[in-house]
Amino acid sequence: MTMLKRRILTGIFSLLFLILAPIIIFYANGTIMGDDWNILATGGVLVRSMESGSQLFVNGKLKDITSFFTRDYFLKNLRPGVYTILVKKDNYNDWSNMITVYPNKVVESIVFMLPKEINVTEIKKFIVEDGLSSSSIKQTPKVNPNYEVIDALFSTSSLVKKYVSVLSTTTSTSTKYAIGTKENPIRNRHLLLWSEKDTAFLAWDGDIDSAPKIFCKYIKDTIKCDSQLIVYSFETKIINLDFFLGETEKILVLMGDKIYAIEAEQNQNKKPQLLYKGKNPDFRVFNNIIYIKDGVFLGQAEI
Amino acid sequence: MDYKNTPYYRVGRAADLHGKDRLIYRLLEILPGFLSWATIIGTVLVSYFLPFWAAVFIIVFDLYWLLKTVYLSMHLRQNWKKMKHNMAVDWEKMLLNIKYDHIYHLILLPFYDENIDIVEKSLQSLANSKYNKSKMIVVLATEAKTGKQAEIIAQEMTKKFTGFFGYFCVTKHFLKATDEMPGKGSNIAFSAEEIRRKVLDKNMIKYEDVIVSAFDIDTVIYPQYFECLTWNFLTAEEPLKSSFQPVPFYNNNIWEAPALSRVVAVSGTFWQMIQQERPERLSTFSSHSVCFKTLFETGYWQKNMVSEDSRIFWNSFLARNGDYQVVPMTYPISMDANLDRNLWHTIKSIYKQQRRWAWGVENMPYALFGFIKNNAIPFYQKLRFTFVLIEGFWSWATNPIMIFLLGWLPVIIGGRHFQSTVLSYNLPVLTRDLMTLAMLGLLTSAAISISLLPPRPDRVSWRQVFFMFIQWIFVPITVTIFGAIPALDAQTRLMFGKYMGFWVTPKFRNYNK
Repeated sequence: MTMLKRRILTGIFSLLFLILAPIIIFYANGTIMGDDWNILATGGVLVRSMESGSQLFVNGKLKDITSFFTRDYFLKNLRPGVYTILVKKDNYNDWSNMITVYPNKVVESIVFMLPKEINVTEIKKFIVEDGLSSSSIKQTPKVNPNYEVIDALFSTSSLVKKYVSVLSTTTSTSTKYAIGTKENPIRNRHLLLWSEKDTAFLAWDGDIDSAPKIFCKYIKDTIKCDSQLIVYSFETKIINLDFFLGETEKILVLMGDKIYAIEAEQNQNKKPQLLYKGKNPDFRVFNNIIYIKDGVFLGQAEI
Repeated sequence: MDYKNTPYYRVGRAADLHGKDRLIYRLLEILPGFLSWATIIGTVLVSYFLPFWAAVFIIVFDLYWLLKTVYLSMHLRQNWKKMKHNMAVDWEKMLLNIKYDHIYHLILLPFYDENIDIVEKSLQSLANSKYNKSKMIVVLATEAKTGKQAEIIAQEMTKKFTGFFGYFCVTKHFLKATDEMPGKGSNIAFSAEEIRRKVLDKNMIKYEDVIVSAFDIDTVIYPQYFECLTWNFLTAEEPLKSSFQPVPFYNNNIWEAPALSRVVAVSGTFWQMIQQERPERLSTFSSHSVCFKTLFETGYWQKNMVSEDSRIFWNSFLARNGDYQVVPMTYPISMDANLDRNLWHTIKSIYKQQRRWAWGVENMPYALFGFIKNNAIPFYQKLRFTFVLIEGFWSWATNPIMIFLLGWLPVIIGGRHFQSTVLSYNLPVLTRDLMTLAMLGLLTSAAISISLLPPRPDRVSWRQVFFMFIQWIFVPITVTIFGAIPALDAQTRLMFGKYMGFWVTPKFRNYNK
């Protein structure tokens, strides 16, 4: 290559660099050219954890249909304002959120959708052993050891043992603490969950700078985080509550004859999603499984 | 006063100087490591304290890298076309109209303790050369300290190759503890002086008629190498103010070497090919050639440092007040890719070899110090070479780390406020996209590398050839682990005054494969 040719090439590449660099930086920061050639500072919304095959609507317009590999969707170049995000999938509860978009900022929203019908598989008290199935020999049912273990989760003494063991050593295990109260909240690392009458609360007792995003919101271009939030105010008194399958941003609540799941995220449109309806149910979350006891019925939710 | 006659001319390290000069030289030794570490640490700190600006810097840097990759790929492709042409040309014909029968070639082969097969293959390639062998002076430059085995090999080679060439000599170098460092430089400098006294002066051969080729012991020449070199020498504008640089291929054992070694080796070849298209940035590297008169006036290769192959260029450049250049031959010579007993030893060898090459950074304080002391060099030239040197060593040690390791740092440590910005969400996507585009250039590299391979031996399957193509996916690993890290290692050593010694790359060829 001759020196002249190389100088021309160097000039072209330098020019390309000088032109492209500011364009890419502005674009990366959400600044775009509007229809009328004015400069616009846009924001974005990251909609996360959608079920595959979900339809994503923004202000009523279909934006995307998710697949197994793309369960998140980044809505970019949104002008500042309020947007209604709706996610739908057949046989699932709809999920919706109203999100305020700020210039050069991204708001994350985690979708929480449960199937409309959740199967609860019964855990039988007795099991029949295979092998000796001759008609002449009568099979004697044996007690299912799993049943005994799970059933024990619902006894008051084991509850006290499970939750109160984390309290200080001066606390007597015989003290009748109400589980999930402000004095004795359910703890998941630094997250504390409790209810007062019909309202579920979530609090963060760690360093406020590392609090989960659900505790934070934008106030005048800065992020403000609180150490406590109201998850939801229900219509009736909460009897029992816990974190949803070990997750920190969704909870389970028992009210009357119904068990609901609800997200803790600050979402004006959130609604409790029915998980189980019975006569006198109760639930426990153990080893990432939701167990439900309703009278003599014991089962596990298939989620 | 001639720069050559100053105490700075042969300086190896800061300790060779005194007073203020020592301090300046020491600061210049610290400079490359300081710049590289400042960049890396600075990126981490800025990512934490000013993540927005770190992200802006990373995006700008990624764009620069992409454009640079495309720009250099164009140079590579251009040089490849030229090389294919040069390899096809009949250089004997090219010399038909030029008087060249007065030209002698002095070939120096520094020999340490390598295997006899390696020595023999190199000598055999010289014997197979089409050039008039009566005009070739071949020297096996041995080291006295390597002992009996090396001596036996030297004797066997003498027996076998005496009579093939005009002169075949074996020199034995005894290391002078006072001003010499063990290594190639002291050996070939001694050898060249021996040949001057015992062959050139004795036979009244003019120094300006002798072209010296300082090879490695594993260097295997292509049949018309000396014709090509002679043509370049005789047609150069300033042959006595020039060094001649071939392109090092690592084809001797390329079919046996593992993928990592091949990628590193071919990347080295590509870098040299790119540099051949930019001769104003070129300095001598590894095997190179120069007129004996020039070499003699320069004072041979420096004996008190490691990377004598590039230093000889800077010696000549400073001694001639900047009136010196490297002429790119765009013609290959072949050497060994790194290959040791097993993969792990090979990996260690690659790292050590790359670190030794990166130790070429010791030439940076030498050159910059020379620019300060030698006022006869034009200012523009000083400025250009200062930029070339600093940018070269800085980018070698930092760019892959910045691109492949630090690109996402602001997103990770930038804090909640930055993590909720559009820039934070776009940074990984943009970095990935720009890098993917840059990696597309590797397709060109893969195609060129296949075209430069020696003929496929029968024992090598087409599957292996296919792997030669897809091996380029290792580039992000090789440029970081065998590029940036050894370069940073070398610069850090220089920065702390932990000077490196010469390390002989183990030469191993698996003939049973």
